[in-house]
Amino acid sequence: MSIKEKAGALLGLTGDRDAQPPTYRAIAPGLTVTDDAAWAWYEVASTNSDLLGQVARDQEQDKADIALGQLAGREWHLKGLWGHVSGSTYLTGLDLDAEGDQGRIPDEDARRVWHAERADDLDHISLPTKKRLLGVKLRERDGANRRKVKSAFGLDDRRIPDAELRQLQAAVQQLGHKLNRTVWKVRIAATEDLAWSIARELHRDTALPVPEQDVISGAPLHRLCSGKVMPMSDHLVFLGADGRPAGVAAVLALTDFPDEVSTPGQEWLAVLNGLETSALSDDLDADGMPRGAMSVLAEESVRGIVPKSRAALKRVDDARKTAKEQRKSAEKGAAGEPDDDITQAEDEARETLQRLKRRETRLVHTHPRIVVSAADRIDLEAKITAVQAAYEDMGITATVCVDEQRELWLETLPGDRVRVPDLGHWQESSAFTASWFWGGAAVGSKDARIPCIGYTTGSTQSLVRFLATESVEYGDAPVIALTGRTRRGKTTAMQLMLLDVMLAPTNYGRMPWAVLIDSKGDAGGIAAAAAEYDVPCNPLRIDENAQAMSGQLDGFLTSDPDHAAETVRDQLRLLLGSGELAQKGSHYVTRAVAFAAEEPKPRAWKAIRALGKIAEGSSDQVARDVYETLRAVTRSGWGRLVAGEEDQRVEMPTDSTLTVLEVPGLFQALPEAEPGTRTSPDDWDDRQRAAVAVLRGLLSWCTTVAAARSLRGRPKVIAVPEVHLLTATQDGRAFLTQQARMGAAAGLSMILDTQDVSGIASMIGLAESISAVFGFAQATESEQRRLASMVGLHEDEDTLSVINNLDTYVSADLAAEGESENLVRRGHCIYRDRRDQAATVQFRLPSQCLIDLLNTSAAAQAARYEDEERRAAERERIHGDEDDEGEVYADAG
Amino acid sequence: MSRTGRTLTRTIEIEPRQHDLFGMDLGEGPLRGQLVFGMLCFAVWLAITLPPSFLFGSGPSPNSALWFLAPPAALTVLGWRRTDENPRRRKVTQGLLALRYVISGHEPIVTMGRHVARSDAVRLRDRVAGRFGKGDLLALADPTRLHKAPTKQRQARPRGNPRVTFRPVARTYGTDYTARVVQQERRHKARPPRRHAKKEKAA
Repeated sequence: MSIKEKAGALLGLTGDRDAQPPTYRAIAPGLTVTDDAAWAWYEVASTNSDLLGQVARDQEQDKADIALGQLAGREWHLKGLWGHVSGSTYLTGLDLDAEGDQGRIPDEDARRVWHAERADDLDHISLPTKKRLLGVKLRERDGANRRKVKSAFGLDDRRIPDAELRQLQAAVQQLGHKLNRTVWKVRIAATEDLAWSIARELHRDTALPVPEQDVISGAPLHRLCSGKVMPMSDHLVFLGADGRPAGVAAVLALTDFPDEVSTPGQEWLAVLNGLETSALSDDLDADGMPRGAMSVLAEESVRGIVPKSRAALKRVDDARKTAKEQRKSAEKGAAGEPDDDITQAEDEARETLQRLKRRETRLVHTHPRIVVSAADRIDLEAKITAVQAAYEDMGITATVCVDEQRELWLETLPGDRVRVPDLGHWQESSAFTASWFWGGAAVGSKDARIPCIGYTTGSTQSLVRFLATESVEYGDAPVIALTGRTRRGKTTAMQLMLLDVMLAPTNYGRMPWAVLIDSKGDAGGIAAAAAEYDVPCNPLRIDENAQAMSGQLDGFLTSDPDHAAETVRDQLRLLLGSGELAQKGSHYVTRAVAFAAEEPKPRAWKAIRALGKIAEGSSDQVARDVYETLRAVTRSGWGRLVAGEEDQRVEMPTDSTLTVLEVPGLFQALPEAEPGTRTSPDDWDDRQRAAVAVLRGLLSWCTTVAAARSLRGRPKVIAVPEVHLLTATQDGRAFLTQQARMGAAAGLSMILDTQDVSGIASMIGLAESISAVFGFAQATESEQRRLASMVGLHEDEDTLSVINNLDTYVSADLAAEGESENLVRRGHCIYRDRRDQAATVQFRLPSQCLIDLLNTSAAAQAARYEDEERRAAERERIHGDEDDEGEVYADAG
Repeated sequence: MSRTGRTLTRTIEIEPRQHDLFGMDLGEGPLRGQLVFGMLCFAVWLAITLPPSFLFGSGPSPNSALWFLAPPAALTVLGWRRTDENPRRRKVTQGLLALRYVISGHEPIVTMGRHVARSDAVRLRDRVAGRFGKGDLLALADPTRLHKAPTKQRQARPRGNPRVTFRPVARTYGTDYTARVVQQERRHKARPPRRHAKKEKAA
């Protein structure tokens, strides 16, 4: 150590404060090369930690402790960066130009419009997302003196030799494999991400250079680094290309930590996620308006090293020896006994030595910094206050280091070094991993081609990608369950999912088949939305009172031809009831159906007609009673739908479209049965029996069409709202269980929306086939517990409270607090994906137009019907005018 | 269940005290670092003050003891105290950092290490005033402050380099001119090099 260094150490001025800023020579995938050093860079995957139970959290943290061991002996740099989800990046990820085997589909433009609208909305909401980069120093390069010598001899080749680049990239891959197996699941950082991380530090809106063979070097790299930073005493000013300030920032050092750092409660880096400034500030913005609360979006930059065990032992032992020497020295003199600090230090050092020797812990030496950026000084101060207050609550001191902003800011740059070493900390590994830097909220598909349905609302916000048919495509379970109280957004979410299926980028030329069975009559908006976005749609209203619907669900027309006769026979027997008449007259029904089946156009009503002929030729009163009963039952109401004489029957759609089957009142007419019990058809009245027959006809149609040869290989989905009405019946439960078990094999997905979590959870076959759950707010504790269990969360008070408050509206504006108490938050739920990750998610419809169209409220429906009537009248008028015009022309001719 | 980890900074970076010096018991004793710093302060102070006192007077006397002892003693005691803002730092360190900032630590970072022109640097007034939050750049970075004081004096000039504007002037050349240039060039190529011409002349 030179005299200068010794003097610096005495005065607390150690470190490379005067070192030149890092001069980048090349940026490659997972690699930054500066004059001084080469660093490997990885992106740390965000663990979904918000809703983890305590045991799971502890296990996760233990795994992180182990993961730190992989970095032993290496310098590393952890860097958190806030960015915004960009619509154009989203669109690029969807890969709308990709073509499947069957080429481009006809609705190409509709798909583009649909996804472009989503991309525009993402740009509008500007969702902040966090990227965490982990840098590991691979090796030192030429020192300053060696560079000078080389330069003097004209040998300073600024290009990185290809051999060196290859060697470094191999090292990046090798280390990446090791780190990928840890809890952080790192992947090699993309060149663009690294370039962005450097460019954004300079607050310049410059276009990122396009890497040449994945490497950025030379002039593009020089342009990337162009920028000017003015270090003021307690902050930094970034100048834009026009020489005007483009932003300000301040670097805070975490100067003091409590003796013990515990989780939960002291997650000292995760605390930066979702931090907001106080809304009570009196400061005004440039327009003279109150500034209000704003997101702080502070970024962490932690440089550190995990000493190898021998070095760690030596370090702690040196401290123990010093403390011991101090104790003895004090005991010899007048002081008598040493300071408490000395005694405590000796005890702690001894204990730590033991723990290190037993490999119960590791030692970590870190230099944590927090970078706070803002548009102006007032915002900056408000944000700094928010950060300091958050840390104060944890017993951690965050200090704006005056007169060292330049050095601290340079430290945060990728590929730099520790310039201010005297503010570092020695900690046990669990005190560092208590930071939970990799924690956040992440759920849903990781496939960039899957469309987004909303965003997570936990500590970090990220896109939630979901496609109802994705699970089946990967051979997983087919059922998607949406549960929750009424008017919480389940049906709207279901409609959004269906539209996404119809317009999914992953259809690759395969036209999907989707059916929505709407018994409540509030999902009619999807037909209008489909028309708006050019999705082929077949809305069909099956009304029990409409004459035109007679014979609509005739078993001969809705079932597989091989089993049609059986279906019709069962339906007619069901309509007959289960009393004496049914038992005695069963064989008449069988004969009549057999006659009808042989006709060129077999129909159920022809079976009843055949029954009439049998009754005429028979002296048996039973035959006449059976005929009369069936005629009476099928003359009106639900019975007419399955065995009425067809009048103006509309063909049931069997092609690849979105079919909206509106069957108002059907589910409500079904006989109820408690789960696990069966009610006897003897107890059913005629209307209930007819409703069950209709339901069987409807479900039979769904099953038949879904299994049709023409639809093989296409994405298929059945959506059923208000499933709690269906699960209350034996037939409904049987159908759901059967489809759940067999659906995946047939490539059929099911979206079920229910208010009764227990109903679904109690059906083992169905519950086992659920691949995704969207749990909306529940009011009763038993349902909350069921939901917690379904989404894989621990049934503790915290989870129940989260479920209960999912529909609590939170206003950003304090002034609107009174009003917000009356509002209900819709579309907010807990989503458990097929990898059993659960997080709170907010569904988001991309446009106001779609919100209006899919609105299921009574007022919206009324408005929609009025609108439809008005349009129909308009159409009629136009057609009338055209006819008139035609007549005029005809007259003229 | 929870996880707890300990911070060992104070344990590892323990500050030893000197309990005795040359056989003299110092009781609780000063911090060793402070002791060394004090000795350095005395040495430097005496090196500065003693030669002039011998040169212009009769050397140190009991009356002037305060002059020779008080400043380094005060600096040792007060300078070794920790600052209120950052308890990890001593006042002397923070003072030296402040001095460093005014002299060299304010240097702007231009294109990651480009040589900084004098005009690029933060002005001395700003370096000092900026410490109290009143620098021009601060006002510039804060539109509301500019709003409150829109006078010309308060509006600081941007410290970036002035914008460079190019004004290309298009000239038109006729065919006569270009033909003449081409002819000149041909003649120039045909002519032998001048050095040879001289030799020929000499011959």
